[in-house]
Amino acid sequence: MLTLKDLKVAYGPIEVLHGISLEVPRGGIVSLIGANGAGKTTILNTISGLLIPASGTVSFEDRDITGYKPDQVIRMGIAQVPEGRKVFTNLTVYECLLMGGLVRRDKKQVQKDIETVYEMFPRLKERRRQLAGTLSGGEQEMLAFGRALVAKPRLLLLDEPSMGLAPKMITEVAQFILMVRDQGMTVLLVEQNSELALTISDYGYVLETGSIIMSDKACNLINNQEVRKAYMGL
Amino acid sequence: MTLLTLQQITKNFGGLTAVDHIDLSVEKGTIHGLIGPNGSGKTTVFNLITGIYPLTSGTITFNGMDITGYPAFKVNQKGLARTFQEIQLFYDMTVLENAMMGCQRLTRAGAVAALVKLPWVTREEAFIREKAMAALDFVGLSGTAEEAARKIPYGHQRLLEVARALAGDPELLLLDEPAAGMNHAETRELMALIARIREMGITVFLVEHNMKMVMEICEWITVINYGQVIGHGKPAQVQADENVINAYLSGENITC
Amino acid sequence: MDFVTIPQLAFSGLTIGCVYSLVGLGFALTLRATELINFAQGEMVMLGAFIGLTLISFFHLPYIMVFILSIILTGIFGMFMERFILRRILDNKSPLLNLLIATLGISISLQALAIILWGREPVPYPDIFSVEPVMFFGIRLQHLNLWILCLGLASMAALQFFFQKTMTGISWRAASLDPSTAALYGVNRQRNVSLTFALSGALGGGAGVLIAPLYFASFGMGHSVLVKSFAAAAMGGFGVVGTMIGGLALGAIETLAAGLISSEYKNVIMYVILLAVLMVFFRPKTPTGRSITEGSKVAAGRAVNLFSADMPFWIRPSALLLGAAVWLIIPAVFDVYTMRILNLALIFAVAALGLQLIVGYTGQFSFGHAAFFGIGAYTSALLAIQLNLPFLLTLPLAGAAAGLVGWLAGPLLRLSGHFLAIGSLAMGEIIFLLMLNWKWLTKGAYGLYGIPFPSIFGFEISSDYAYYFLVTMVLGLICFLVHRLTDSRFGRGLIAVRENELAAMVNGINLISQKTKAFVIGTACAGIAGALYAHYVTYINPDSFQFHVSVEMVTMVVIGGLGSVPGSLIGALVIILLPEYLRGLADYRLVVYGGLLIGFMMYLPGGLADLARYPLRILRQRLQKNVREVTQ
Repeated sequence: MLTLKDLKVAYGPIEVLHGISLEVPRGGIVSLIGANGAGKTTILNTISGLLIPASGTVSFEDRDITGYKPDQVIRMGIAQVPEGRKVFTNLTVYECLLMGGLVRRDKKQVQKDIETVYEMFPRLKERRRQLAGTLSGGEQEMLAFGRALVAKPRLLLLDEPSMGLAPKMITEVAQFILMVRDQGMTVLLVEQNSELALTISDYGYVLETGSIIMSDKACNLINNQEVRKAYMGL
Repeated sequence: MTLLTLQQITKNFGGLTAVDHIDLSVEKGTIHGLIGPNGSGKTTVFNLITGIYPLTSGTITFNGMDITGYPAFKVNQKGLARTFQEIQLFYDMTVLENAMMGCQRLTRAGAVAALVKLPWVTREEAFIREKAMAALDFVGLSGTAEEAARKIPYGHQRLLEVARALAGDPELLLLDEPAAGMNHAETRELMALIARIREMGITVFLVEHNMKMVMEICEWITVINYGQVIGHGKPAQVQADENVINAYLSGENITC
Repeated sequence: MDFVTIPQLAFSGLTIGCVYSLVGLGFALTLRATELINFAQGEMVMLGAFIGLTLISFFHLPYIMVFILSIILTGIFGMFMERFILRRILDNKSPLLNLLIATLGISISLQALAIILWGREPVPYPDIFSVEPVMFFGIRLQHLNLWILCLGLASMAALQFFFQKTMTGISWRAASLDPSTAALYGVNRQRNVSLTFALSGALGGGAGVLIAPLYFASFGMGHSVLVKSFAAAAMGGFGVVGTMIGGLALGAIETLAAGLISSEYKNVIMYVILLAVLMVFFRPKTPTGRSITEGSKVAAGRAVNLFSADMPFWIRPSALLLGAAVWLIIPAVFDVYTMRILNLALIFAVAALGLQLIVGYTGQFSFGHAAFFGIGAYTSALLAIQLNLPFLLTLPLAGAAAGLVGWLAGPLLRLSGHFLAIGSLAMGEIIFLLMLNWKWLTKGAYGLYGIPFPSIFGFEISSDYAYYFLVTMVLGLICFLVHRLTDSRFGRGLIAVRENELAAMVNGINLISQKTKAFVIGTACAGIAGALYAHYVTYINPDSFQFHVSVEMVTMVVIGGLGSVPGSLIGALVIILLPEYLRGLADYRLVVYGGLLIGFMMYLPGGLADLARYPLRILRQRLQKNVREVTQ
């Protein structure tokens, strides 16, 4: 569904991705794990069009979308839940969800989808008139997810959804990702919490300082000593 | 002997407690590592120590002196230098001038001295130049002394930050993710450099994500998560600690 | 005073407050979408007023139609301004200061165009409103004021509806909070910025049509609304509702202060309120502030050193010889008129050098430099007239007086970026207003006559030629001192503050103290320049020390090149001499001048010093090569 081929990205003179190639098949969960600064977020932001690659291609559903602007990318059916959730703090919960449907033309259907999100997360419905910035971390996470869902994407990019959440909430997030997959969405998950990521995904890529050093079925990676070593220096 | 002691330091940002009653001490002459998952508050601890943010509560003692509430420039004058995770250089200055800025705490010529330019001012200027050159030499950058800081490669910019911090003969050097964005070879060189810094008698306190590096060079490691200390000890102790492993490798067990 | 006075004053206050709110909203919108303070916002008001006037006089349209049409036209104008001028500078990642200068250039050009099209004299609107007031519990409500209030409040309601209820409005708010996440959800940043400028242009234009029947339409009307509207936006925290309330409150306070306290000091009160609001609410919440070059990719100047040890030995003596020759030849070849202009330019160069220290080296905004120039001028003039003190004493005292006031204004430097720009502007205006109102000391607008020529060791320096030598010697001395300052531990500290406040503070620099020192020295230079000016022109009044003079000084520094001592000299020469050489263009002079400013900012962001550096570097390389060959 999504294919990256030899993607290179640089911030000014500094190359941070040294030729990334990966594939996300339709209907699955693929995770991208690695330490801080390995370039995980950079990959997502390049797919989303916030960054322009120096070379290489991004193709989605057999279409070359390299160099597309962010608003073109979301119109293609790719939505990202950014790192740290990034809800619009001074907008109400309802307005934040509306923002998810900004590029959709069927505004009536958007209203229905917002209702669906409310059913999924009743807490958001209770707080729909509250400013997003006043929500707790877990509620903001729900809102960020809900916003992405209102965009009706076929591919969902998740950047560190577990970051800064309490363990109980992390379990909920994992369950939620599985539920979204079951509804037919494809998920590309970026996580530092590798065990969480690998237990729910089908396939995993391990990233180190801008290069993919390993890739395998998630169940194989999870027991791989190399992976444990990369994380703990064991 | 303890060089730096943090007692119950706490920092609230709005409603969020980024650093929550942390106790920690750094022994003189050691290399001490501070690790923890993303967003656990490591950099905030550094910012509190160096006076960039004021503490909400707690005390910081450095070299037997209570430096709680000192502004950043005064903390530096007491002999505490640091580098940043995101490189902070004076980009339009030359490499040498950047290093010269590190000698601020050893020198004193002000505006009036600059105008009158008595012989001691000229001598002090020569001294600053000498210290800066020595620091550049130490990290291996003396060859590019006259280049503009913005023009040298990323790895060198990181080293320049270290050189600038060293130029003022600090007693404690704080390194915030010194290996971020470096490849393996560069990381190895950096590790050797940190070892040499310790040999000079400078205590090193560092935040790092590269576990291999931390485990290899640090004598003491403190692990924090959600702004609290969850583990402390020698590298081997920390690696065996259940709390630490959980924080790094999993949330809760979820079945496949 | 009877009991209807206060509600009566409040009513007219709210009317004018409506206008401040609208213009202030324009400021708030552009600031939130692009982080730019658009100094041309005042000219949108002027443009709206004249477009409205034209529509009424020639097409006899009803007022409400005129209002709507003016809004549309100024909105389109605002959009064009962004598209064809500002976008390029924003994309260049030029220093913040360059953007401000570009909007000032736009403002100068538009004012000049307005003079060409509609003349210098304020033009009254035709009498379209009944003069018979509506009485309401004894308060006289003028028809015009009621119209202003209704249309103003209606526009604000419409704007509020747009931001709260339409998808475009909501996405605008989202983008102003977090541009990159908003982009992820499909907000096109470029279109959003265009929309912002269209809206703020429209708001300014609308305000112009509302205020013009009250105060006439004139080319300079933008300036008087500009600062107060900005104050309104600042008081409202640059929010939409906040700015609306801020404007209304400010209008009421202003009118009540004028009616109940004193109309002479009403503006002083306004500026003091603005400063207080800035200092209390808008000090940076982060530990470090913004420098004028922050986020910019355009490097500030580095001098090309022709006198280093690896250069041939003869270069220093020959440079000195050449300099001395030029210095002596100039008065021999130029006529009196040219010498006069040149002397003025050199006097301004002294002030510009001081400003260079503040802006170019330390990276801090200052839009009140002319006020310190004025303090120097008045100090020296008064000491000479009242106490008969000799020039050699009044000159340093003028510098000391300006520096002292600069030191008192030091706490302002806790502000940063745009807020410092506006704060220093307000401070400059306060000093200007005091010069105007302390009549017992300054004789107010009447000015001081008969300031004696300087007399040094019994020689009276009265001819333009003699003055040339006096000014060049002072300038030379200041150049030498500024060079020494910048080429030292202290000077490196200044540049460090400009380059990176965070890195400076952890390397032992006390930011506030370092900035204050630069400010005191810089303002002292302005004071010395002021003294030179006063004794040269022998007549001064507050007009010479207004805001636009401060702007001219900033322009000298930027056009010359930030962080370059010779740059400030060149800048001063260009800014003073250029309008003289453009005199042939008559009324088009200022249009071209404003256009040149814009052009400079678009195509030569590093200033003229940047142009000179290239040939100098080549020269240096050539000479170095020769030396190397000889030693080998």
